[in-house]
Amino acid sequence: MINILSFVQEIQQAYSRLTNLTLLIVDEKGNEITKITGENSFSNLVYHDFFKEQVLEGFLQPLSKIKQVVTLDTVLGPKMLVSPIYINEKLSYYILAGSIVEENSREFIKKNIMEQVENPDEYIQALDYSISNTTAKEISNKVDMVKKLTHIISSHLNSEFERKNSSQFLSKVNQNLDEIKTGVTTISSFIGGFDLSRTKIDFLGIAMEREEGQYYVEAIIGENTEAIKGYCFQLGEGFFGRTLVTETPQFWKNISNDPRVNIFTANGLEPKSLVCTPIFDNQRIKGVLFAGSNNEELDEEISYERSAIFANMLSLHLTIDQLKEEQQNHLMKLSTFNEIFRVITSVDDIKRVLYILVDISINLIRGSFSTIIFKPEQGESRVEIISRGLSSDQINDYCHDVALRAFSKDNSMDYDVRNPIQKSTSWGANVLEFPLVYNNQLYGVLCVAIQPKVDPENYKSFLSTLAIAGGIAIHLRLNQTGIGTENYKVNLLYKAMKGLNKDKFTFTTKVSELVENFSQTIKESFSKSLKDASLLVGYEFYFIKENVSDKKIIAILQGCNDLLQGNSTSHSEYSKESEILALIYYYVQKKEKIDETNKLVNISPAVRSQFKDFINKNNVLESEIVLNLDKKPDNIQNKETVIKEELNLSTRELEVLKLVLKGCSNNEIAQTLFISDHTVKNHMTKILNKVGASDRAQAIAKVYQMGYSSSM
Amino acid sequence: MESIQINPLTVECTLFFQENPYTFETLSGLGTRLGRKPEDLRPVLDELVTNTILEIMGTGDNAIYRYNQPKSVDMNGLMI
Repeated sequence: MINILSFVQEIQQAYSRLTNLTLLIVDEKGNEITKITGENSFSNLVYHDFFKEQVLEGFLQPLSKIKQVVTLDTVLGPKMLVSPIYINEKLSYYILAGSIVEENSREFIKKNIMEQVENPDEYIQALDYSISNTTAKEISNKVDMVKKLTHIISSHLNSEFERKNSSQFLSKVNQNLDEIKTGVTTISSFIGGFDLSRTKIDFLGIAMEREEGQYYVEAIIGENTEAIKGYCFQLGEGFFGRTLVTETPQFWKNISNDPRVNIFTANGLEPKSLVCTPIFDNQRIKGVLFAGSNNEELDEEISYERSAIFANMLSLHLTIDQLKEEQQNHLMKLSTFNEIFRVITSVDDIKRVLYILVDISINLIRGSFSTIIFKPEQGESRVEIISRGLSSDQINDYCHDVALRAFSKDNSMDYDVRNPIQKSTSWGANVLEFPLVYNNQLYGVLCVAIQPKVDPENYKSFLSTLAIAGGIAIHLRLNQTGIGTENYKVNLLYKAMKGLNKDKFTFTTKVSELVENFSQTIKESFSKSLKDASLLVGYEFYFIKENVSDKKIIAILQGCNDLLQGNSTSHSEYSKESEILALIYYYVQKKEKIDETNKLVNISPAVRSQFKDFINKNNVLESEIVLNLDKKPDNIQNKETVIKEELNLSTRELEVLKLVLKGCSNNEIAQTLFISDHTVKNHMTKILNKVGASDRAQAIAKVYQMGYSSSM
Repeated sequence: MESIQINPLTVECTLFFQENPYTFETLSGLGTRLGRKPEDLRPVLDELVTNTILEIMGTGDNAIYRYNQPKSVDMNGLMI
């Protein structure tokens, strides 16, 4: 600013000499912008005595509409020139130039001075000394000179204004790009902080699509624009809607009488020009950037250009956001797939694999049903149906049809795992059928109903991948027990024992069951090898060593053998699996007398203690079951009685418990039983104590475990 | 572009109930067991109930959720 002022001051000084006029630049309120220049003592006297700031403001007020140099009579008679300086088409400053004394007017001026000032001699002396008479031609020359000065100064100030304006625009562009880069952009921040006072624009806003076909003004800046925020419009509606339909930038001038301007006038704005630029999100129109002016017409070219830059940045921001979201969604899909695959390939039970496929597919598609038609054994006619959302009649109808189509020897369909078959059921549901196949072996068909009006293409990729994983998982499960596998060999040896030696078979079965139950009780997931090893304990070790190749099974049996024969010196020599197998073997061998197991040395104290606990609890549980059987648990009334007696509940406590099981709150129980909340709380405390539970959920679970059913 | 959305929490809850088919739990109990906030779990459980994967007993905070095993039927002697 100092440089600009200094330049203007110098130019003004030069023109004072050229025109022989006193010159000064003031703003619209009369504040001095430059220092007074020119060796004109009369003008200086007049300015200091008659043009105090307030006087000058009043003097300038009627001149607010002038467009070029005007000649005015001053209070003492000499003339002065006033020239307006427009910046960005707005009257911003005045050049004051004086004083001019016309031919034949000097005596009149002197007379005026004599009448109006206190020290007329000083004024008259200054007038005669500093101002000569000016001819009409000379006045015209001076007017031209002041016009040139005005042109020079306004050009300079306008270019400076443009430079600052561009600089502000570029700085905002930079800020927005920075925010896009760091991911902190919001619609409001995109236009927030933009100084409109330096531009011709009076309001700037963004409208975005919130729901299909509904657009809202999400952000707007400018005076009196608050009420427009939240304005809703549709495609084709008004100026904004028109831009959305054409998908091209639009510029309107002289819109004061256009009926579409109503949205602004209704909210106190009277725009003259309006520019609207579409905003895209990955080539799909998502909104409009708009800017308008109330006082002056906007420059079409600049408006288009700058709006386009802002709108493109917004489009870039939206596209980046969408890509980020897609990437996030993709990663989430992958990690979810990973979790599903991890479970599907690690569970032992094939039925669980089928449940996962049915449940995950219905979760995803949210259709009316999901079902698997599964053929567990090739060559046999048995088919298993796992379904969710189908009635028995629908199973008989649709699943039967799928089974015939998939597994019929004469009429089997060719399933392509990547291109599921799309079918309709007899009751009109649309279904996608995916084969559960591995290595050309069809194990089943996953059939998922899709919602009406939903594009099946959206789901094909996910479901076919799920079906492929399902096919592999089923194949793995089936082949773990297939002919020729180690598993098959173990099972065959175990079954063969039944024919060879029935007592040993019974003994082995007992050991194997205890191993399984004990492993589950201590909540340790031992390898499948322990279970397999337990099925082979009836055989001599050397025979197993020669015929079974699984090293883990051999190691467990070797350890068990050594422990049983007392060949070991320490339990730490063997795996925990060997210790468990040896301990259980010994326990069964000694007619299931737990104290006898103390004689088996080199078993770690921890395993021994866990096993004793397990056996003791098991004995209690068995006697409870016997008790239940005696009391006919199938009878609902009897079950209630059993629960009441076993838990030692009073009749009232049983009533409270039944309501708790129905999910009633304390207040609801109090109202139902016509007792106070406090009494219910007392009953609840006693019930929890008697059930041995810490909260309601635990109590409910325990009661259900005792055989309670919701129909009671 | 696929428009399907997979909610990992839905999958987590489904697999949890499949793994523990005899679980009877309240919302807060499940929150503790899964290490999730009840307010995050509630919409997921509601969705699982809508999809018939879970059954709900009772209402409000004391409502109990449990797994609803898919129907399993054998079809013998098909003419295949």
